[in-house]
Amino acid sequence: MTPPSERFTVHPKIVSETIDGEVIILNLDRGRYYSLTLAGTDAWSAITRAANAEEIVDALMARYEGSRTQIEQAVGHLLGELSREELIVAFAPGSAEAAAPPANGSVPAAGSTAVRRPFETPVLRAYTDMEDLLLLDPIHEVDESGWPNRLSEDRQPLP
Amino acid sequence: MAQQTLRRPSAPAVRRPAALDWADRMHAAFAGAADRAGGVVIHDFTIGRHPVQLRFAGPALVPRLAPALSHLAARVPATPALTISIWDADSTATSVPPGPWNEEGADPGQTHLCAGERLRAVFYPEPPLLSFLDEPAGQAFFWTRSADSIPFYESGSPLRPIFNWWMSTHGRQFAHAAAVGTAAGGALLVGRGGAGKSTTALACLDAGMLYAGDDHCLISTDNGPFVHSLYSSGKLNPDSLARFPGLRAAVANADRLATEKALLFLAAVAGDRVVEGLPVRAIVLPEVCGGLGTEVAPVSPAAALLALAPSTLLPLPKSHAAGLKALAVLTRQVPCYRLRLGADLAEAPRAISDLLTRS
Repeated sequence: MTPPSERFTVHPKIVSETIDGEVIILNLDRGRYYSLTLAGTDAWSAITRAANAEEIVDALMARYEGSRTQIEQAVGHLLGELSREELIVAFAPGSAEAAAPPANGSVPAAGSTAVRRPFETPVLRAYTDMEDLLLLDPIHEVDESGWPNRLSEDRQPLP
Repeated sequence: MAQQTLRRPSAPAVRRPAALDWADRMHAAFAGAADRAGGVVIHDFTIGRHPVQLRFAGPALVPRLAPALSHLAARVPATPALTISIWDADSTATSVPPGPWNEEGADPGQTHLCAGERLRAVFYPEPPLLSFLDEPAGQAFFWTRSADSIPFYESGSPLRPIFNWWMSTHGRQFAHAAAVGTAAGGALLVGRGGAGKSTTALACLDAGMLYAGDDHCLISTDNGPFVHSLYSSGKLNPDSLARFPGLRAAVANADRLATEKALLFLAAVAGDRVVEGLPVRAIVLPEVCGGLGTEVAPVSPAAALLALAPSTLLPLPKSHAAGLKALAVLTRQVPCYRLRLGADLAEAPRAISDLLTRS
């Protein structure tokens, strides 16, 4: 597991939408898109609230039947995948990325917790068929006085 | 502010104007171009229920950009909410003012600039196509080298970046979708390129159904889901033309089919069956299967969003989370189906008509 002080949030270049229990995730820079279902959807929901790994596990334990060890391993694997695909970023509280309020204590899971479903390891489905259509240059954010000069890195919007 | 040049290190250093400066220079350049080309040619349209005016410096680009919008010509021109000033270098002897790029120094890919939400530009280097929007002013500019440098796909769906940017802030979401319908309402046909959208849409038109586009359209959801037509064009692989003898007269590039898809301007042959828009009653995901029969099965809104959103948002400059949200709202509002296309294309219009009657 990652250290408790390390929290996760959605990468600023990512847009996502949860619909019908499934998350659709678009990486606008890389031209890839992804989907997550079931426990993956709940984990993503916790990440949007700037959760740490332990809080994500707690959220899944509240909704799914499975051993803590099994869920911890699955969450660790999923966080690794999401990080490698640059869909999430890790940050420490107090850093610039922590602009969004971190979750306090357990992260509320989406939906009812009355009936727990059997836990299945979340699978990140990746789709790469659009990569060829990717814009070859990134979008250059500027301010009106600075055009055509790129907005400096330290003024990029925070997540 | 730290500054970083966008040009390659080998490109000569040129002093570039700031964004608002550049907007002023675009205005001045267009005025000069119009003077040299014999005046401004004005075409008024109603697009997504917004009055839009295209102002051409001379006539050269009119036949390249206006036909795809002909079905949306304004019956009574209104004060435009969006004005797009358009010129080419060759016929007006007016190039584009020096900006963050030029033809010789451009990066090989597209270059996109956004000054907050106000000023947006995209430059495609070859052939050179520059789109520029000053959103609060409702002013946009489009420039290219010559009428001959407009590729067939740009003629089929012209001014896409400008329409995408401006419409997204005026209640209309761009969608990579075809739209067909009946008196009962419309079906959005969604999916990535090659899924069968165009062929299915043209089969529906050929069968007498209504048609609002084969590739790009605009969506609104505030007063119920509605698809606004953007282009009356259609594109087909040349070897598929034989399936639609009734549409051959609409082909605009018959002399270039060895190297281009067939580009059809359908308002010319289908008249008022090419409509300004339709209330959306269903989302349909075509899938070329080639089996014996055509089959329809319900799919989840998530499956429809997965088919619609990536191909809509990833190729567009400056797509926003708001775009994904708008498309998600749409997929929640109407039933969604997978249409497994069999070998007999004539079954597809019947299947879609049946869906619309039931939905």
